[in-house]
Amino acid sequence: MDDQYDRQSYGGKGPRTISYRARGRGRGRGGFRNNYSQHDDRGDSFTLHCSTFVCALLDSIHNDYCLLIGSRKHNFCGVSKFVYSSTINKVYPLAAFLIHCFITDNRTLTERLGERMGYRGRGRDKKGRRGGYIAQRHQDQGHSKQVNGPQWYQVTIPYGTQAGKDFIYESINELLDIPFQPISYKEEGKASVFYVELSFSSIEALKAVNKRITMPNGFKMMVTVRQETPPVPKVVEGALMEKLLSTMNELYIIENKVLDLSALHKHESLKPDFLPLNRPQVMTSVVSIICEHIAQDLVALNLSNNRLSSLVHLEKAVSSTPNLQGLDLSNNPELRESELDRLKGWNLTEINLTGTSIAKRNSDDFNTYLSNVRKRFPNIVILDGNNAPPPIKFEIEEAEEKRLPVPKFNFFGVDNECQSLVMRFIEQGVHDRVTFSTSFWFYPDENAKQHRFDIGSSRNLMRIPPQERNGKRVHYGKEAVVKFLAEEFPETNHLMETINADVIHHSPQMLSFTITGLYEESRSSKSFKVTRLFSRNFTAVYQGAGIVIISEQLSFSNANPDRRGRMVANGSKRSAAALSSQPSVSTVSAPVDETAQNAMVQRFMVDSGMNAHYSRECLVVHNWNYEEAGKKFTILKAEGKIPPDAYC
Amino acid sequence: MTALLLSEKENFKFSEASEAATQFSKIFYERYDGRRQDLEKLYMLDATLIWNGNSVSGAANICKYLAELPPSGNTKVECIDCQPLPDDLTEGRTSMVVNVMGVIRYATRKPQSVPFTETFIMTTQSSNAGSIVWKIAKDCFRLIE
Repeated sequence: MDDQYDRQSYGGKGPRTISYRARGRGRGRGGFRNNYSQHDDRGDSFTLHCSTFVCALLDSIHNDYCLLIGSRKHNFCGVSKFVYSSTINKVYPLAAFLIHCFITDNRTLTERLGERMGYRGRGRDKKGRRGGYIAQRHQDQGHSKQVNGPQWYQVTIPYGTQAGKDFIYESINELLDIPFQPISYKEEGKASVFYVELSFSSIEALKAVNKRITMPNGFKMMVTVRQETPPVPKVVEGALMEKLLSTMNELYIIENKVLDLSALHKHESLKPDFLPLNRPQVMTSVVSIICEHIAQDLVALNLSNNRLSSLVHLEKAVSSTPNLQGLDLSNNPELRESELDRLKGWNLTEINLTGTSIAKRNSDDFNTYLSNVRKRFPNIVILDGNNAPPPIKFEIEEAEEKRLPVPKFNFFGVDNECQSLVMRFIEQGVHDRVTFSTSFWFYPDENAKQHRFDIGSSRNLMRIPPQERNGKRVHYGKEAVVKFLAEEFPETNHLMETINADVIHHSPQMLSFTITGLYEESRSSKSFKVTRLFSRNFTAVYQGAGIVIISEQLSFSNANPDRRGRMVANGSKRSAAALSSQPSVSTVSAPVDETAQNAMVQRFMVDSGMNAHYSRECLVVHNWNYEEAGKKFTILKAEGKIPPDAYC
Repeated sequence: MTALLLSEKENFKFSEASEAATQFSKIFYERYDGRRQDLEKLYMLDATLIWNGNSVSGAANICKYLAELPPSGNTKVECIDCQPLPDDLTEGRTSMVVNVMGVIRYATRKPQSVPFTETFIMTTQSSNAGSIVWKIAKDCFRLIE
């Protein structure tokens, strides 16, 4: 075992000069030997072990310093030469320190090294060079697990371009008895480069291919392997996005509403692209696909085996997937407990965290573990596959349990009695002594551009000085209002699908209603439109047969143009909900045009026997819903409430 | 034809209403966020609330309805406008329409605030102590989303 280990660590060369020094002094120390008791009483093996250990560490440092002084030299060149090399002054004290602590202290070297060099626990630097990697294997079980798992390796074949991709793949595959699934093939100069994911033990088999294949040009094929993750596309879009979508479609189990993204990058249909879920661009795309297609349905999500360390990009899915109950985050070793805070909004009942550092840290006591998890997800009943006792709660309504009442569309009074009036208003005019005021505010809507409005005519009481809170900023009289709207106020186009109308008050004297939603404001250049969020309150009085506006207040703000799409989506959800509870409520706009209306009136006249005026009235009241109007007519007729003049 | 001008009396009515509306919104939303049970006194006995299309009548019922909504916080009133109503429409009582817009965050809504608009029809009546006070006759709330 030691022999093999040794070869792995620095390319099959024997122990170095330094190792004999280590043996000489190291054997005198009981503490160290206890730490590696499996090597007891085997002097040679022990020595070998020591030397491997130190050499590997020095190797890593050597690489680092080589880099520092601008050399790309990767081969280990003999410790004694290295240590006493006068050109690299910095290395000597560090090496001496290493040897010292290795021999005198039984604390793990990586730990000591970490103290001195500010190494992070992982023992590998950002570029994936193997510094500290071997030493890592000597650490406690906890870390060795993640290191033992499969890693990505970059394989370089010098002059491989002459042989071609297919030749390389086929010939290597023939020689290997382990699965060989190369990805991300590219050419770097004359060299061919690709990536494989292999476990630490099977990488040796791949290294052994070196110089065993004869290339078409007669030379032996060189194979160099180093640890490196394949390149990930910087943005996921276009065809790649579609590929991701279709892959996710395959992985979504529609019967159970489960999305299984376990080890996503390994999925066949994504190859040859490398899309690991732990990269922000991939997670963001996955989340946007979830939000777009299955947000309301998704019940369980499996994100295991994806080497996730941060959930910051998953956080965005929380608010849009209210029905998610199960989450599998197992075997993401680098996931920390604080990351769970990001997912607090989910009402999870089941979670799997095995093989994460969260489970590891809480491995002593299941109850503490459970309570830690319940701090984020109070309703968890299955944790890591174990049934948990139900949570004990107080009998108070928590904020989370309260739901906002289902919003309903346009409110036209209890019996919709004002609907036809409101509809009719649009055809009517304004009162001679109408008062009209506008008020503008700035809403910090995400990404919305600050299209300021000329504040001169705004009557926002939060902004204007007290002496102007009288009628100064009010447009008074029909002529002034019409003039203002025509000449000063930008042209508007109300987006009907976002609009709600509420009748606030109606009495024999007056009618007051508010319309809210979005409109688009046209600027001088017609193509450029500004989206506004608005609220218009009208007070109207009866005059003759119809109503006329006596006062209007228009308050508006800027809005993100995206809001339109969201409001339409909310609106359709809402109208579905509203239809089930209040079937007679419908939108402001009469869905039928004039010719169709006339046709309906004719038909209604025939069916009911009433005259044109009454037939039309009945249809208007029911918002041109023929069936509704018919039903109401039948009821009223049965009750004898239809006046006799309706039939003449 | 000369443009119509507001008379001095009408101008004063606007000032008076504006002053009341500004004060009112401060009081109202402070209580809305923290102490909704104290809102009852601001409503007339037969007041009506239309909350996102759901209608409730009577001060006590309104207060109960509001108390059962999820807690809200950080409600920011950004825009107030108001206009007095002509006296002949309201049986001689001083009345006004107040239009408020702003952003609100309900505890169940994660994470961002939602713009809202609320329209009040307010009218005056004499309180138990004999002084004249503003009361909400109609209240209409909409989340714009």
